[in-house]
Amino acid sequence: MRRFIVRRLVYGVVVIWLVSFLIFALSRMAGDPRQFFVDEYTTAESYEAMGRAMGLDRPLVVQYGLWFGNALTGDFGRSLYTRVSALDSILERMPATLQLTAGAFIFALITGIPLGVLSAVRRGTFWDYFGRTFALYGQALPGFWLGVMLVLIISVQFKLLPTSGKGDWTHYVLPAVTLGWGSAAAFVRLTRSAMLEILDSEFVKFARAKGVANQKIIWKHSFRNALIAPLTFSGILLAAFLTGAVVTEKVFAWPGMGSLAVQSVINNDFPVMTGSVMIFAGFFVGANFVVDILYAVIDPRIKYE
Amino acid sequence: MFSKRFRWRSLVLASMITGALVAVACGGGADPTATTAPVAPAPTATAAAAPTAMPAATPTAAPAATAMAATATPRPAATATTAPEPSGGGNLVIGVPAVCPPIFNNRFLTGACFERVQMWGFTEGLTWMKHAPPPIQVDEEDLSKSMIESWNHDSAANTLTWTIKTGIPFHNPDFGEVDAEDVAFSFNEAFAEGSTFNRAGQLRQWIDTIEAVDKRTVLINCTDAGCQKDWIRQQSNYNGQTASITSLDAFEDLGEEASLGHLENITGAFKATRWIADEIIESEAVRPHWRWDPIVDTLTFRAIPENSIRLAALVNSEIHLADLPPRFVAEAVDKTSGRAQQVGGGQGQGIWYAGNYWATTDYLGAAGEGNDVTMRPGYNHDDDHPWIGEWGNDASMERARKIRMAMSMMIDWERLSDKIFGGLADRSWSQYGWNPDDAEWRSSWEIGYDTAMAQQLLQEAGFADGFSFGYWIPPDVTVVIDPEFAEAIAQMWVDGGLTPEIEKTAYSARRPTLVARSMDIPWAFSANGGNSTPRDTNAVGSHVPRAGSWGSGLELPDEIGQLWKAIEEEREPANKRMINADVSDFFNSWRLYTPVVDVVPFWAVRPEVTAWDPYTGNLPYFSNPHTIRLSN
Repeated sequence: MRRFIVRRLVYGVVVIWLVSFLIFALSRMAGDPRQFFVDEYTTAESYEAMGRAMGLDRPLVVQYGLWFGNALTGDFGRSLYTRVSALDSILERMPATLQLTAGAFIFALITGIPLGVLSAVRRGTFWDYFGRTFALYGQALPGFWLGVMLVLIISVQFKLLPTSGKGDWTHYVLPAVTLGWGSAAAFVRLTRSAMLEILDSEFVKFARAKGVANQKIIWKHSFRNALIAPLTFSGILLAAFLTGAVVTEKVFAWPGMGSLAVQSVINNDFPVMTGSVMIFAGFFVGANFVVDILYAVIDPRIKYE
Repeated sequence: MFSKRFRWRSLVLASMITGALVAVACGGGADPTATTAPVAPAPTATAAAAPTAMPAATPTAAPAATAMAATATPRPAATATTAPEPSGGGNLVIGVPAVCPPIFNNRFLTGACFERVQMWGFTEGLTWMKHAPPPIQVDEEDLSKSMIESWNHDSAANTLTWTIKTGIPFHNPDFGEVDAEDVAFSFNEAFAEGSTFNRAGQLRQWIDTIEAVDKRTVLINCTDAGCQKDWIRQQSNYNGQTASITSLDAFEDLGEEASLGHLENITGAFKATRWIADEIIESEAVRPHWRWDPIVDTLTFRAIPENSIRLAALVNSEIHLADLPPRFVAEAVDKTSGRAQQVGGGQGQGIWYAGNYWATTDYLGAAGEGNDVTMRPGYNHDDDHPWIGEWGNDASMERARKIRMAMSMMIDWERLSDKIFGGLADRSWSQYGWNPDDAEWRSSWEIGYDTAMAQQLLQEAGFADGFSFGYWIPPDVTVVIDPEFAEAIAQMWVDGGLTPEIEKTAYSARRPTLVARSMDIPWAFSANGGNSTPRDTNAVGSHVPRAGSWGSGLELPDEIGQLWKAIEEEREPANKRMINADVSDFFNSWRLYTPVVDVVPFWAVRPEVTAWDPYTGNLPYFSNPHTIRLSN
């Protein structure tokens, strides 16, 4: 197990390094950030001076080395747009994204997993069709459309919740539902199919033959074994929520990391852009690592050594 | 297991529920034109449901005597306000697509944030001018609202001196009042090495040095080109990217980094208490304020990037004013029983035919090493780029002119105005605002919508069957160009037998090709325009060979391009105007730009806003929040 963990950690570091290289190369390919600032009155001298101020007067390899070295210490430079530390900008936005992610994750879990279990246990009944319809709609409706529709219905027509922004709990409902909607549907599908497979297995049939109570068969013997797939999905989902809340954040004017990352691309703001992507990559690598470890905890049959 | 019939029933039921929800969301399918009663939600209910909903106006503070009367002049029929005259106060909330970062040092300011922060009531420039049709004249009222008490131009010594007013405090009392050192510091920061202040180059053309002689006197030693005559306009709310005045004491006491975002390092009529870029600005009125007292008690800007959500927030009474595209404004007015308010001059939108880089010599001496102006990478005058002519080759030039003319004649501006801008756009007659009302207007500049003539020109140019070409639409600078408008033009070209291949690369990503002069396809953008654009503004600036500078995709031939210098050096606005007319004649004769519409910026205003007198100069931005009055 320890060897596995060490190996995965090394893989993670390599992935982060490769990502850093890619981020740097792609961001430089996007164009010279000075060209975002110049206009018809910019002189060659001031253009060069801007380059010196931004550290663009050195060879690319040197620029990369300096940037990566600083990035390892959390120093991504100062935002060209806001003039504050890029890391501070990202960290300032992180709580909002984490809160939204938590809300969406809770919504997806409490909606998707019970509905998936219900759909599997009551196979062929109304609940099964309801669950499958929910899953179909959940995965078919784009978040952007859903978000706008929820605002128009819940906020504008019925005046139950605010349209946008971050405030008390009422501000969390619509963004969390929008972000978690598709994932709830995925949970329904995953849980349902895993539960069906388990419920059809020999040990469940044996338990039934022994006269074990149905509730115990479902929740103790089947549900725990069926959790592997949703759990795998959860880890990736959490990271995806953190990095993929861009659309939801934009629709609901939610001041999170996703909207910051998008804005940094629009502004050609290298420090924030590269910092955001590095942190997103870190989330993904970390989430995958934790999920791999949890496999063994959840399912004793899985041994890495 | 359920029968097949039950499954179908479930499907139909689910579809019906979805359809009903969509119908509710879209207003229940009711005819929007039949709506007579405004959707005016009860403020109490909204406040209970949405804690951040805008607070009701409080009738406590009396309005300042200096508050200006509202002269809203919306294009759409404005709903008459019958509310009794309120006494002022209240908490004003405004929905905007984005909020600029709090940067209070000219060295680090970027792009449109210059004017926004200033026009939103937080920072202040040196001078202030009330709006008037061009040519702008300075009058006494302008001076009374400026930081400058008087000035003196000594042409013999080639200097300009400014005498700074007393009694202009910074928001932080520790920084004292604005004095000559603050003014000199603010300008020198704009000139500092590595400065991103866009207008530094422009100022440097006439300002050699700027220094404080004493506490109230600023001395400017002008360059050999002489002191700029219209510096008052250049440093006023009329112009974009004016230097804001910040505190030297703040810089020295707090250091560069801390003073940069220090919210009290400024002097505007509203004092910010919380400011987070692209999220929110919360501020309170400064009373008394040296320039004018705001009527409302507090002012909040909320960043809501999505147009439809901003509209929803307005309808839901969460915000009082919303910056919306024209087609959303009409809907907002209908749903709130509010009104549309013009906030600035028209913004010309049209087509640049990039790739016509005709400059051959480095007449500005600024091309830079290895930057041969005769070898522009986008100068591809071949059969694949028939809109690009080869300067000096009459046949090539004439063919390209006919192609550009034909492409212009395929564009129906009236249909675009109706369908895309809800009828709120005017015809754009020429780049840089020339129109038939100008004395210099020449009838040959008018090119109308004429598809038959367009086909004939295509045939004469040897492209009777049309041709395909790349066409760039910047999707993300909507204040300058509406992507939907640009797409509609593409369809008009398709109808005319051409095959545009739309490219929607982000502006920031495509902009380097304009700087590098490798842009070689038609693209949709602004060319200023609107009747409010001063005709003496240099119309050549974006079309000359300058290393590392923005360009429109064109470089004028040397004899025309060199007029850039002539206009810059010319001191008399009337003479600048004459030269610009010649430039415009060249542009229109060769049809290097197709002017299509002048889009006048309108904001949607809720009925609770009973008065607002925005500055309607040439900048399409929200302004004059101190004049806004809320009903009780």
